[in-house]
Amino acid sequence: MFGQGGPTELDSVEIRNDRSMSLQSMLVIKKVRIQRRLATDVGQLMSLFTGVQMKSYGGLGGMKTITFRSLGAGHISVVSDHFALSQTQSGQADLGQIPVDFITKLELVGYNPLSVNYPIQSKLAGQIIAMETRHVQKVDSFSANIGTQFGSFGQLDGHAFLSKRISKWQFAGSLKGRRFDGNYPFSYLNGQTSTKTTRTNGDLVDVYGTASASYFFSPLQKLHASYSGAYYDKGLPGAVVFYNETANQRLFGNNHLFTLRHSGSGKRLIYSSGASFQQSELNYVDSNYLNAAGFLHSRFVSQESTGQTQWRYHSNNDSLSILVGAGVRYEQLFSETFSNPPTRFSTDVITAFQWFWKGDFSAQLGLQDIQDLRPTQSKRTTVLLPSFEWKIFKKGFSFIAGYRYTVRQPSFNELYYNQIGNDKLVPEKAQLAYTTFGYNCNFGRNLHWSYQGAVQPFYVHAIDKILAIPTKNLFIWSIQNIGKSDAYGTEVRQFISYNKNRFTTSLRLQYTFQYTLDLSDPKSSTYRDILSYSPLHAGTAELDVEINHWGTSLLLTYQGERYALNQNIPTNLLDDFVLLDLSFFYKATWREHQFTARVAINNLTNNYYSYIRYFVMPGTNLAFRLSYDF
Amino acid sequence: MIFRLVFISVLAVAIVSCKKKKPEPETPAPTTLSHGLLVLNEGLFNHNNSSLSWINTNDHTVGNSFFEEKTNRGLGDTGNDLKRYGGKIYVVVNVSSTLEILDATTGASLQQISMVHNGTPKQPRSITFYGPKAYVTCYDGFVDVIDTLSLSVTQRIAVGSNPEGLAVSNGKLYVANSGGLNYPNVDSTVSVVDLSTNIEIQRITVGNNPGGVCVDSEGDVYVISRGNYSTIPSRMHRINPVTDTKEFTFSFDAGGMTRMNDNLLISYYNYNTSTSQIGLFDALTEQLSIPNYISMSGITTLYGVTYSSITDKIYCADANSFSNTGCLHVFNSAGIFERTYNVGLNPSKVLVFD
Repeated sequence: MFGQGGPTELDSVEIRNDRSMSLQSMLVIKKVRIQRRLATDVGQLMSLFTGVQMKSYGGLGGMKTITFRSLGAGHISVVSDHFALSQTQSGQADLGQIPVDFITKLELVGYNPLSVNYPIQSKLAGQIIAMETRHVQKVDSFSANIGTQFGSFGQLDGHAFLSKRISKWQFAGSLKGRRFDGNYPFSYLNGQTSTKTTRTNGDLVDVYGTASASYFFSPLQKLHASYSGAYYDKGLPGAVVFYNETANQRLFGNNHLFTLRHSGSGKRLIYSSGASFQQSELNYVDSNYLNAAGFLHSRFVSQESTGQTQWRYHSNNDSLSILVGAGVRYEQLFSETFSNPPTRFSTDVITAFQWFWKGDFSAQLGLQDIQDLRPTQSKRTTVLLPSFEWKIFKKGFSFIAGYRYTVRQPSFNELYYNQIGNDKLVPEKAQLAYTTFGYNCNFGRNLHWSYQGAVQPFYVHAIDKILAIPTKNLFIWSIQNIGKSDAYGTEVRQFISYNKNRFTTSLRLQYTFQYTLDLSDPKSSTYRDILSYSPLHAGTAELDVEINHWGTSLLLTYQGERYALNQNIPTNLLDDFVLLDLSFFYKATWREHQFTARVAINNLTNNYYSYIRYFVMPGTNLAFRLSYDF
Repeated sequence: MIFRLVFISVLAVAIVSCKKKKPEPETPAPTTLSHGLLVLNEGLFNHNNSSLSWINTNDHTVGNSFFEEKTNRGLGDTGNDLKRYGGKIYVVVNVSSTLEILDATTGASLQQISMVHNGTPKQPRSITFYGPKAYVTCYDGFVDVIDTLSLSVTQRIAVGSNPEGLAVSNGKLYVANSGGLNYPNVDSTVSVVDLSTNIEIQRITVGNNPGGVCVDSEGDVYVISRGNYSTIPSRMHRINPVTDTKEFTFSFDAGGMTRMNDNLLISYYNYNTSTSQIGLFDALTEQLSIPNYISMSGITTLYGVTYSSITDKIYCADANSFSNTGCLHVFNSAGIFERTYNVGLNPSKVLVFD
């Protein structure tokens, strides 16, 4: 009932026996916090994590990707209900296409070797964005949710979820649809002249649905099967080009994902095995393309099949745990441009252990074997991926030190796309080292106050970075392994809350300092310059207050100055910006029925800003949300 | 201990975040254009950072915001060609789809022509002149005729697909049809337009992906076909302007041509080895007389070559790595290096003012 939100809107601070939870919980966004934002896609929530740099290519339905501590989106695996979403074609997931309405938990996971809940390929990636939806949540008998959200610029969406338990079976279905006109006003500076105009070709229609069935062999063992399908059709408003605001490009396509997972736990074992099949169709249409046909239509279909199993054994007193696992993946990309579809067969093997001795020491060793059947040549890559972490906890204080080595394979686009692709690419490699100093406690009379704080210095060194550069002329780019970079910085997270009777309030501060350096070419004028789109400073502040049935939430987002290109000259410098979002809600409860009304005023100060130069974002906009839970 | 470490971390943040680079002072644009060089910097696609640099050849100072200072607005996205004709300067801006016309004495803006046809940007590429008309290749398969007095488009001449370079000889306009947007089925022809009627009268097959067009001191027309940047090489062809036939294909690598008196400077950038070369081609004997006429030791990415009979110097534009600002290297006509200027992003074309 009531979903997973519980009786209060505010996240509880979990100080549990699991000693890592106090730090980990700061990298988790739960359902109640997601809903306070009135976000329409996962991308809009990513700035709430430290270390994450969002790249939004304009518009409410625009493409959104992220980088994490200077590592590109290709190093980040997006996991939904324990299965990694396919990134076969572009190497990155568009977070702007993932709805948030059914998500109960959104996590940023860097290292969790003993968990069987993340696919092996994801655990070997640089970072995981993991989502759990209501489909994998157990219900007592019946659960339902229906809602709608509408607002500025023609925003209208609706969503519904039903879940029913029948004996050992549980069935669930969800459906979400949304549309935007996307025609928001904006202004931009051209020289000394400010121009005010309206975004065109920013419309979006998409539909997303999931059906799932679970069979519980016992309270600790279940089989879960699901199908998710999505369809989308959207305009690409593109960058604002001076004197030429024509934008006619569109993207449309569909995605299908079938999954089957068996998971459970016994006295000494925790295990999961699963298989999936995904197919994504992407169509790009440019009706202004000046070729002989008078338009361009490119169609790509990617397919990915996976299978994997992970088994974890833990000793009697839990002082030693060991995990082994193996997985396979088979990926193909079909397009008219390929006579032989590019094909990749991957094998991932993982072994890990955790030992509680003078703290908590864990290590993970991954073996990744990739066979690329490339049109001009076949290539096999085998890499060993070690990582380890040491944690100590004492009286609320915690200390973590860790190291990870990760690689990302070049995507099919980077390898084969028209003249741009380069099938001689090798994997991009990165080493990450980090420490965390944390403290948490409950204090005050009757322990109404709670505090969690963490400071996390980090260092990342990346080589063979895969970059697109114009090599033949400005219209003909190619992909090369030329990049080398360093990034170091500190993430600071502070959380304090007060909870008494029917009044709760919390303040959450998240700040990332990140200093990135381009080390690609010592002879280049950009040598040791700050990497593009890497602000030195970024952060958020969230203040939430809830009294009885009413609540309000204030979110302040700051993104510092950053460069649009690697060369650190004034003409490449983008202004910093501050965004202020305010939301209110009212919640009524009657027996097991809950009705919630929310309103959000986003970008309260009507800032004209952009994450990516000339991909302008909306000014002040409103959103209203009504939802019913049972 | 914990709080000490926290304090050190915060202090480190504060110290490092204070590091800021001081911007170099900009040299203001001159009120009248003399004793200097005007350089067109293409900029980067979708960055609206095409620009004009002004180089004062007396004191060797450089200002990279010439156009913005003169007009209080940006040049736009991807400047592709820069020419002077009569008392006017013409700047072809490809992605912004505009033709900017400036006063050649003061640099002041005279007109901006929007190159959009029926709601579709025409994507202008190159410009040349004949009599009172300017001719602009547009990627939509036309050459636009512009009256240089009224500064308006008076006619559109249908040619091949995605026309690039163009030149006039023997009362005819020769237009290279690249067909680049039909890759891999690119065009291979040169359209011949009779300038008395402004009608295409013939197409001459030269080679895959025609780009630059140049006319020598005898009126012979030379065309570069750029191949496919890998297996099909980039070659120069000679067209007889009387018979309008391709007479010869030269066997050396050629990516660009610049007329220097009776010679052509043949530039070539090898995409596989990332090396450049400039050869001297004797257009009278039609021989590549000196294959390496200019030392490329200080040039990273050769992106444009200009010869000025006013200064008798050769100007080589260097795009560096395309995403950082470029340079203009100056050589005397014997190919001896003289000096380098730092200019804007992806410099390609130069105008010389005495």
